[in-house]
Amino acid sequence: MRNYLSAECYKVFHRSYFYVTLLVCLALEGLLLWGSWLTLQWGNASIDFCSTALMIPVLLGVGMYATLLTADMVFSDQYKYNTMKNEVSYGLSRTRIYVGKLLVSLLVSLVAAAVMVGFYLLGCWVLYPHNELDQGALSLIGYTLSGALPLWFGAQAVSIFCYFHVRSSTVAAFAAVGILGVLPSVLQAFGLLFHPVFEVMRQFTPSFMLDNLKNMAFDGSYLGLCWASGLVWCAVFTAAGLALFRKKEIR
Amino acid sequence: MEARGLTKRYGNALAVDHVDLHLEKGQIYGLVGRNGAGKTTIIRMITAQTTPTEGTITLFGANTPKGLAAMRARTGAMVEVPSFYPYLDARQNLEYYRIQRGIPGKSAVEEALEAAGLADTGRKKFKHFSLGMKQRLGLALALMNRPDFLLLDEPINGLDPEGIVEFRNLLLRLSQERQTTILISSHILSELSNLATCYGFLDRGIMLEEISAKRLEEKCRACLELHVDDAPAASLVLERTLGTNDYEVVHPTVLRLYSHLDRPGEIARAMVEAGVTLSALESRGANLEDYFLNLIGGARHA
Repeated sequence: MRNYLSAECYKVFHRSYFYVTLLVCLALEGLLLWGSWLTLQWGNASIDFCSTALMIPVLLGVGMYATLLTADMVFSDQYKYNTMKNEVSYGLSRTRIYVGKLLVSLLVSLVAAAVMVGFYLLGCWVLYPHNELDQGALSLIGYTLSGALPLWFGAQAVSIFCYFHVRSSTVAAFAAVGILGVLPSVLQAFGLLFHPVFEVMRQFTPSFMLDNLKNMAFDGSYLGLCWASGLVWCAVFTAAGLALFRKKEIR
Repeated sequence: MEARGLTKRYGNALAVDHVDLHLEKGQIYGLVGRNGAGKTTIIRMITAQTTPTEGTITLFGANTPKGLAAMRARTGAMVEVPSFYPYLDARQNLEYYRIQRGIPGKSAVEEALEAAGLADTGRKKFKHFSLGMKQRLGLALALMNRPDFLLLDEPINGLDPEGIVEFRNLLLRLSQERQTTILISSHILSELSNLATCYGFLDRGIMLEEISAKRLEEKCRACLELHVDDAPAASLVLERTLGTNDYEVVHPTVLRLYSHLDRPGEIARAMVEAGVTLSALESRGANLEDYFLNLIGGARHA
């Protein structure tokens, strides 16, 4: 497995996709920082480290959709380029291939998240005035990130599932958005129309929980629920993806 | 390598129908068949790209799923079109697979590129390779782990004449020096006939015949076919009057004579003078293509 993980890292970090995507994201963050800094210069007194850094808990959902990009980087259009046969024909087990790609996509996501969160916080720290609210803001960011992490893992498992089982990567991305982004709305509608159980199910979807995290500040039991829910999503989609991939014809 | 009763069914369509294959160490086995005969499906089953509907595969003595997976690390394969990451160059692509497969030493990449004639491609990305270069890179990957068993599906497609000669010499060298067993499918039968030591003829998923190159050569050898009323009497004429024993009796009334090919008149006269009735005297002989076409023609009529 170590060889497989090393090879996948070699592939991801030897192409421009990862670096260009990261640069674009950092540029957008830079734009956000610059915009806030401009309003500060124009006399908006409400702009400080606390108010700008607290954009992180608001944007946790972006991290969920970013798993589509990291899954795409690692999966690398293997069906389009027919490269999966090179791995299978050498006797690499399907479990190793599936789990290996999931682990590397999690690693890439973590690296990208660390760089982006670090860059944004550093920018806020350097550019904006500080006050007694800083400590509270940092604590809230720490809380929401620790709750978001398992939910992002679950989202990553969904994205990898879609890339492994849908031949076109564009359609796979739409399928993943459907599960992660549209399914909660469908469950909500079903909850109103048919049975409240659908509403309960919606409350355990990554997108709902990520949105709700900032409203449940420092609630340890909700944090535990996030971990349980995220890991269940991850386990269910990995088990299902693996079972299907074991039977898949490779071309 | 051995396959027994190998079968692949897609819905109601039978792509491969109870095929038996036997490959000995160091053998170059030519898999011959038309498009859709089942050649690629057989290779895909051996390389685990698809699972057989029925039948067993044995690789280096292993036939359990776990054992087969372990033994596949001793194989090299090039199935259909060589496939690599287009945004990586030849070295990066091979380095990726070298790391993935745990092949020790970075020199393995250079050696494989050298063997495939791709040592000087520089930083050119795979997406800019010609078909021949892609084919060579596919071969380099198949050779990188110094396999004991090489599976090649239409490997000379896209190679230029010089590349074909280099490729042929490389395979012969691997077979002779390293005792590498090679299973090769090709439409270019004339090229296959320069390499193979054994053939399997496939048609519509059925193995029509497995035959050694030596036996095939004997069967295809140019000869005069004599249809007579009494083969033993005709044999005496050939030996005593014409002084040859380079013939075989293939039927009580049919002989094949491998000498005197340019003297049919002399043979006819000798038979008549000895009182043997000669009802037909035909010139025979075939190459691999003729043999294959006759074989599938026969199978179709049957």
